[in-house]
Amino acid sequence: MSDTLTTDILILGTGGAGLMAALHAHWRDPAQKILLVSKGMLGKSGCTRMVQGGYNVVLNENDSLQAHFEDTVRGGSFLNDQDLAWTLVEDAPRIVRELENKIGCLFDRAPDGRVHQKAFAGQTFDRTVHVGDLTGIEIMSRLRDQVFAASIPCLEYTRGIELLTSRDGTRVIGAVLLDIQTGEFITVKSKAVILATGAGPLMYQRSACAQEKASDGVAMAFRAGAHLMDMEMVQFHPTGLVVPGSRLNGALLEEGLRGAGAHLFNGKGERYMTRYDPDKMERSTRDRVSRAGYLEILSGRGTENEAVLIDVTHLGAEFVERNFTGMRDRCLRIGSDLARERVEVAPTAHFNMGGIRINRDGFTNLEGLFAAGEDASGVHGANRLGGNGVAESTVYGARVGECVAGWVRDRPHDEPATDQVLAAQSAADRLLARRGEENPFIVRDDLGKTMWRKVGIVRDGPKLAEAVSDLRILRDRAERLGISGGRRFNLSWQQALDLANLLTAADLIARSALTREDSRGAHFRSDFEQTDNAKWLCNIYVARDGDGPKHWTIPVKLDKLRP
Amino acid sequence: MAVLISERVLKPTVSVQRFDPQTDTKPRFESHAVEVAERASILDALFALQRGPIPDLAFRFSCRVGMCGSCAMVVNGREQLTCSTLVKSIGPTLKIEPLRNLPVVRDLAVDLAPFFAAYQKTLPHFTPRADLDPKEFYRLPHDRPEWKALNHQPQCIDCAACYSGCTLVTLRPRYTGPMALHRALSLIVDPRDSRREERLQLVSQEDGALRCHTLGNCHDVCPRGISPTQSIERIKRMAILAPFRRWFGRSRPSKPAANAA
Repeated sequence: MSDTLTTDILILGTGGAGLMAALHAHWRDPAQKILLVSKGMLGKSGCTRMVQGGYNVVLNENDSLQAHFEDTVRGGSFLNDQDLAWTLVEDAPRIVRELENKIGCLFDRAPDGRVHQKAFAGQTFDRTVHVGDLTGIEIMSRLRDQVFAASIPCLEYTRGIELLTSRDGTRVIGAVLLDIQTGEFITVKSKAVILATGAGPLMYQRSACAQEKASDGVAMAFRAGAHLMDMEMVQFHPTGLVVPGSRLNGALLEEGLRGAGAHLFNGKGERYMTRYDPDKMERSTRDRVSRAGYLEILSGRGTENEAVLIDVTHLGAEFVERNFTGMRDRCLRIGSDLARERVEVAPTAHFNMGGIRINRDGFTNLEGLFAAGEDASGVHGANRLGGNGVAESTVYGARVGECVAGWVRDRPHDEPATDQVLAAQSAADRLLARRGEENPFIVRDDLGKTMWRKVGIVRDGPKLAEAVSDLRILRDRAERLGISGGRRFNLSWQQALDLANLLTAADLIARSALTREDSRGAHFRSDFEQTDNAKWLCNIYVARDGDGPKHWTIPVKLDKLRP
Repeated sequence: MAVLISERVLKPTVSVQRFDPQTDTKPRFESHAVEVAERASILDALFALQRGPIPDLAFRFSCRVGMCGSCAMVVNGREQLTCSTLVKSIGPTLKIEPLRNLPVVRDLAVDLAPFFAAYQKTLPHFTPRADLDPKEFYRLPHDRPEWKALNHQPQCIDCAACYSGCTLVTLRPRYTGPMALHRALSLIVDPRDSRREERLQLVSQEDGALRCHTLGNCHDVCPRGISPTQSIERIKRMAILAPFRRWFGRSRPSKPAANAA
């Protein structure tokens, strides 16, 4: 009931990071066998496809790498790994040119024919390259076309279930996969495994992410013994749509709106950012604007739907129609005309700054395991700038692919232990066989509510401690799921598998948030409101220790920029 | 001001195709009344079925904001991107079927392999011109013919609605289909690409652009408002003019004078 495949490089995830890794590995050494694994469809799944605003990159002679770096590190409240942040800004110009000139993306041009760079919030220079306000479609389809051209095989609708390790647990030697459509397991032997599954804070009730991103990579890496970092750092984007009762709830209106000069009003018609960041107002960083919106709503100054209002009408209907076609369409769909009226928005869970600890070439503490994109950590610190996300996936995807193609040469394959393979398969099978009373979709909703209320935008010790115990109860409920249907294309079973990983990641987030007793970037503790650089300018690490997590801290290296 | 009223509830009757080609001889329909919010999409109605009466309903979706193009289905006889179409725009009864012209994997999910196989025959990937500097962005001033010649239609999300809606694909499965031809045009008019003529020849064959009868179904069903028909017509015109352009040596754009980013 299980096929075994052998490859040199196994890549889990087919967003920007996964596809760039595949292409760069292939270009560096076409002799290496690469296998891509997509939880959805190639080119159509994950969040790179959903990138709206664009790609931060220094191209203009009046801009500088130093400025982009400082924006990134200040935006991240100095929690960033400065080596990783510098690598991001340093590689981005080369990679964006590669996207345009080798992969074929046609980025928007200004009337004079030069590539257009638009304004984004939280930055000192207009450096965001884009394709209208739906940039990700262009990047992902062109990447997909190049993967087709390179004939790199891809297993679609297939998910990673568990990483396979050497007997002593120090090396990753493959993975157990599940073909969602057939319900059959696949065992893959691989010299290297690259995790690029996109993490994703889907454990919150309002989230912007694509549905695949159930923290599979982070949870599998944790179980395999990888070191994770900054798990408490979950970004909430300030302007998610408010559409009660629809999956569209929490979907984004892009950063460029605030970059272009959008105003935010509360339900009483007050431009509330005057109270939270009078200098930068709506163009402040995402963490601040989200917190402001959240507090307005919490103090009863929101709209009837518990929202605030984004307003771009003063920019002119024609300007909005031309520059924000995608965003306007998105609003028109739910009966609001962004060009002519205020639209209800509220913060939405958007991005994990935390994740697997990597170095600048994607190495982790486990030999043979690599990570890139949102599965990894350190680039953005405590808050990510809009436009740095797709830059990270493509820059680090390229780096890790390039590096791994050399690293795997002359390395042997390891034979996975049968008991490990069978244990992974039977854990997944046990979920399918559950005939309990709990509906996986309802447990997922309850997880979303717990995380939103107790591990959300404004946190405190007692609530976080409650969350940790609530999560234990939710894990118990997840043991009593009732799954009906067979193996083939059964989304209920997939939901149960997602839920297990989301619960793992949620617990890591809550515990790290409880550990960090200061406020920094996206992590705000009402019982520790100050940023405490004397004590907390350090990263919180976590790794598996027996059945539970073990935490430790390491001071941030401030070798390029100090607060 | 935006809608500030609390959401009303709709109670459509949703009938969905159930079919497992491995065990069933033919598709059947299963029908349930569901409750959804006033601004619910058709995809939301499927989620309502999933969490209630049909937990193992098979269908595809990913981004739910109209960008990934995974969730196109046939609703009451017409292709719709289900995440982007409101239940109330359709009516109180919804009959949901998988896309046409493609094999069904299970229930509402089709196998897009034939769609992408046709696409891959059109040389769909960008191949840069060797004479361009890879360190610069190609200058494309808006007042130049090169800019005006670009395929300025909205971005295609390869959802396959057009492939499903095209009568010619039904009649002749070897036909390349609207999406692949539309996207081929975008590269044929891209001054940065080196294989434009080769691609033009490839897609202006009998099973390519010439197969199109200009019925316009593809445009009618495109959730992005693209007219593949219009792109295909351009390919046909270019194919007719290609020999003349070759004689006069105008098949390639001249290199722009200043090309610095």
